[in-house]
Amino acid sequence: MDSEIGIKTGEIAQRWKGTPGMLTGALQEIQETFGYLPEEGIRTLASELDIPLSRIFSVATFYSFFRLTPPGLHHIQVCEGTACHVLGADQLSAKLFRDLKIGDEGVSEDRLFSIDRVRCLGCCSMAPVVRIDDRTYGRVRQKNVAGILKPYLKEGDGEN
Amino acid sequence: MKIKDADSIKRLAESSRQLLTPSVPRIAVGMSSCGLAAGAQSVMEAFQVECGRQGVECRIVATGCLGFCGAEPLVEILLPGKAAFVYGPVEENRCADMVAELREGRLPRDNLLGRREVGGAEIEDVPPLSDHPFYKGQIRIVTRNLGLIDPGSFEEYVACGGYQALAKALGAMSSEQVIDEIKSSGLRGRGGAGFPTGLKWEMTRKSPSSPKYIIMNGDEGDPGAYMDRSLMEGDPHALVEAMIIGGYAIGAQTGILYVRAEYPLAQKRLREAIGQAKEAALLGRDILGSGFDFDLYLVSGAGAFVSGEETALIHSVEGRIAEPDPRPPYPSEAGLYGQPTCINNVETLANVPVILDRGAEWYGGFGAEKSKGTKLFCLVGEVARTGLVEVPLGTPLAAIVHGMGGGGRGGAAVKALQTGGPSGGCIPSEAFDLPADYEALQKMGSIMGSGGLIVLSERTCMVDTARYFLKFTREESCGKCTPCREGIDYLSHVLDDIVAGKGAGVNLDAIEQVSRGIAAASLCGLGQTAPNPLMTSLRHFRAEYEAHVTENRCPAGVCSALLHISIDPQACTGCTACVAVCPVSAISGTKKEPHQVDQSLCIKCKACEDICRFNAIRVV
Ligand SMILES: Cc1cc2nc3c(=O)[nH]c(=O)nc-3n(C[C@H](O)[C@H](O)[C@H](O)COP(=O)(O)O)c2cc1C
Ligand code: FES
Repeated sequence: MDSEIGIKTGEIAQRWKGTPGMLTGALQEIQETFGYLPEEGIRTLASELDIPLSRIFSVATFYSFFRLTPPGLHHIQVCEGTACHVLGADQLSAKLFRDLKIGDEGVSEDRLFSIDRVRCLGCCSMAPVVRIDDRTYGRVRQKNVAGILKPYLKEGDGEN
Repeated sequence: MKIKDADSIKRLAESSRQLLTPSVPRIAVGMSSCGLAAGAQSVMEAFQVECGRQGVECRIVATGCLGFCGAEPLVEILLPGKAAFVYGPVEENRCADMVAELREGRLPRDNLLGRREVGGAEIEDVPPLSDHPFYKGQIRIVTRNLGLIDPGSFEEYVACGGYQALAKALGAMSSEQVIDEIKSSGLRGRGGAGFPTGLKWEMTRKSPSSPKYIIMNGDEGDPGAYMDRSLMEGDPHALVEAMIIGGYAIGAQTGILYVRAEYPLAQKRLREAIGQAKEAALLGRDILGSGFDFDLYLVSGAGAFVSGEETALIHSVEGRIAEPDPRPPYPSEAGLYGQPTCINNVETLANVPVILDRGAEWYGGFGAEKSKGTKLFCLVGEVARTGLVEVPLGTPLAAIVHGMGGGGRGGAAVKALQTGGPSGGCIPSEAFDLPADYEALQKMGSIMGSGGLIVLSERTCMVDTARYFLKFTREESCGKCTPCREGIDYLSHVLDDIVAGKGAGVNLDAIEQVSRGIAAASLCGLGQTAPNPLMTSLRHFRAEYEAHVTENRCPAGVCSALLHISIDPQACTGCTACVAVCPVSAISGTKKEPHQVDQSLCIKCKACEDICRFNAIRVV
């Protein structure tokens, strides 16, 4: 419990305890902190909020927003909502998976990128839409992909 | 600063007015998610840098979305004593010139969309924004503040008349009077079902047990719609104000803003607004000296479509998986923690402060017989001008799609309109004289839904669209009841087969029968409405289904398994751009001569179509 994960989740749990929506709120904040929901964090949360571990796991697996494995250094959300679908999201998403050599597990081998297919990022007027970390790109065509990824590649090269 | 009574709100409004009409030019950049996706951040920074560099004194603010997303980044420049001028799209590299023109006392003219009056002397030769085809016929009631105020500024909201409806309700009206006012306005729920809002409030108030709760439904699960996001990001205080009023009306002391996780900016803006309202003592104990206590919490969704359904949403707030319950009991009797709960959609709530401010009678003057007021629609897909439009209920669909939207994208012929998302249906273009109101759309087998309008053109395949929605509902079905779980799974696989060219044995009549069964036997709205997209498109576009099933052909050129991609030798210049982008090296040819596609290698990714500047790629 006195590891970094234990301490930080303990603090998060205390902040949320007793407020409406405390479980999803705390889980969201844990995910923001670590990029995913580490098992130790979930265990700490269960004891701090006095919620059965099984229930936290069922919640964490039911909602698509939560992830139980670490994402890549840069996390890509490619929108497959209706407006994006109509304007070619399938091909765009296939290109991202292909170009970054990402398979069904969703993370590239060097862990630089991960991809999630999501339903609507609320920028449908700018379809097709891709979000990388917290930046959103609109009207993305296949031919723009390389240019959009470029800044993230460089930074990664330096860090890896 | 604590606000103790109605008078201090009025005083703050007076003293804050100069924020909206300062003595120097005010440059407002639309910085909602849509604007940011179009690069508004760099535009804002460019204005800041240029104003500093050129020594032009300006007030530069970030605002919400002015609606015309197709022309983002949108910028409004308000010139003191004159008017406000709206520009779009404004590219980052134009900002320096625009600031220079301001410095020289000239009005920038490039990409000027129109002028908005702010009480100054008129500038004759710039037409009003309301004459621009995108804005013509729109009325701004719910979106009254969008794009005009800085959503992070409590004072700017108050300067626009904010929190005066609250003062009126708490100071001069009983809870019953507030409910009566909403009832007589004719306001109906904008979340899809169109239930009368005042009646829902009254039922919750009259439920004997307490405490009671009020919840704002900001789950906006319909993919392809963003009305609620725009409101939450662009005018968060209007929703805080509406929730306090709603709490007062139904007798709740706790309110919850439920906002989906995919909207981080909306969550941030609402959290800021809650914080500011608390600081001003508009949340907490004894609000405005009325003796009424109210607190507001933000709860995040977590990416499940079904959690927008009200009973499932309640489970989600309670920290459980979002499975719906059969109704009755309705949430107004037994909702959150088993207590009476009123759930309202974001847009529904955004109407509340104006109705109290201007009166039910005024509000009832807009809209149709049984559908009062206005509705927000998101006009997206294969349409020339995309954006958020607000029109009186009952406006003909043609006026929205062809008038405001300007018809198909790139001149493509519009084939149909999808309304109501995965629960709705398609309306063929022949029926576009239909008025947009709850009853008319239902009669067509679709629903009004939350307001997503996805324009489908000759380049959209109706079979693929139906398959898309069924895949969506299959994945989002919570699995609790059998007709929804198994039935949708079956239909979804049949459609997968059809688009994969394996539909030879499919009996279209049998599909219709299964669809009717699912609609009749499912537990919640998700299953009951899931077959709608399929049933409506089968009704209106049966020939497209038959082309797939009997001829292995996709007339719109979408279903990849049925496509044949080739290069038109007349149009091809041999520039080799396609060769460079083809991921499987299926294209070959000599430079400056027409190229060919090797069908055995082609994966139909259409990267060549995307890059070709000579329109030489043929997809059939
Ligand atoms: C599957 C399903 C999803 C729904 N999603 C939403 C949603 O995202 N937002 C919303 O406001 N209402 C949604 N609703 C409707 C709500 O159950 C509820 O009727 C609405 O929030 C009530 O608010 P209103 O009366 O102001 O419209 C959904 C309903 C169903 C069956
Ligand atoms: S459909 Fe892609 S952002 Fe809405």
